[in-house]
Amino acid sequence: MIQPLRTSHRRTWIILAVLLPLLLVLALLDRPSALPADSSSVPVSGHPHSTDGAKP
Amino acid sequence: MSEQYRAIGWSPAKRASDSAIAVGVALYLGIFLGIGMLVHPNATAETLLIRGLGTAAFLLLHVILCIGPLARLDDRFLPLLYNRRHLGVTMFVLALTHAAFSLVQFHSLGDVNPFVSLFISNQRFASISQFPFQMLGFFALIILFLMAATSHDFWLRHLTPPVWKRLHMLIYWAYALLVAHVALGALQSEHSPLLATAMAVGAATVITLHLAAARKEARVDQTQLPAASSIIAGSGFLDAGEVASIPEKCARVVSLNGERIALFRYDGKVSAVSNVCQHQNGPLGEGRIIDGCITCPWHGYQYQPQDGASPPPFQEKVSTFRTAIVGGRVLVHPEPLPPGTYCEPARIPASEIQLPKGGGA
Repeated sequence: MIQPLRTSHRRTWIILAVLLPLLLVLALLDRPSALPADSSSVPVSGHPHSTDGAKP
Repeated sequence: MSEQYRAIGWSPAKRASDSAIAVGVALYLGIFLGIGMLVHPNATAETLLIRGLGTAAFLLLHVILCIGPLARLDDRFLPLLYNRRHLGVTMFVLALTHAAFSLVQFHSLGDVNPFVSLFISNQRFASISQFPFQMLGFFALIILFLMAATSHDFWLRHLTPPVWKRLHMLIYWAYALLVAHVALGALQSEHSPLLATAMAVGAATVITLHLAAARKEARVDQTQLPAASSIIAGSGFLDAGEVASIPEKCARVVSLNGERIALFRYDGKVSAVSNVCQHQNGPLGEGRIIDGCITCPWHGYQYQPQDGASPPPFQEKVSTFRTAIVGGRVLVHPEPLPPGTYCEPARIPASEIQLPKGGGA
């Protein structure tokens, strides 16, 4: 009755243990590099997280 | 338990816990906004609020995800389980507010419906740094909504515990979606190592705790009980170990074909019931006998050990198992009796009963 739930829980976390670190590494590797300090004049690109124009 | 519908079963402890949650969230948002204004003086208050609400919800989700495995690994964390639902609903409200502000800020200024804009304004699915990460947050929010809406015993009863449990296990995939949402969103524009480090530590903590708890559970399931044929020939009973190994008013949990049985010792007797509480499938065998009833450690649901039925007026029932004690060993029959079936407890011979020091008067 409850055994399938325990197995499903275990499998889910084994998958996530592989998937999440991989995702974080990929996201960090592909991250755009920071612009030079004088880039404050760059207009906001429209990216939702561009708060000060730092996003290229 | 199951007698009538109440929106929330308030108690002084629950009120204190909810007050602590509200104060904690308000403090976090205040500190986040204050520091945000200093570090990003050009950022608007709306943007800082969106980030504050988002990080508060994400942080709270980590706390919520850690409570379950912590309680499995160490009994001292069990009280946290009692208030996990309110934490979950708080987290959903924070996430919903974050989403609503984001939708207004980034998708409501054009001619297109904001929800349509969310799905069509960015189609760069092949790019990691430009990925439409907001969609991931939207899908996670749908899961969080389903969970928050069904976080009540009314839904637990009507959906049945296995279905309800499966629905609420979607939180793991919501967590994966939110990690992707942050990694492909905020992390792409945040060049300080703080966010990346916090995300890595958070994910590592959650994953490690869940795997450690799962490993502990697997060890219990892998233990096979030997047949008791050397004790009672041809009886079908299994040898569940020495009666002396079960502490008074507590249980020993054994596994039979992956299903667990809790063998409770109390008042010179031993009874066996299914280890699965009918409320949220909590581990009855990790509870205690209180006022003559097996009491689930998760939410305090109670069952009489001899018949597995909740005391009136409650109606929950769990399966019982036949037991015997021969030569100081507890024997249990693997075939479950229908939930609520009375089963004569096995009597512990006087020679096996060890009175506590100073007791027996």
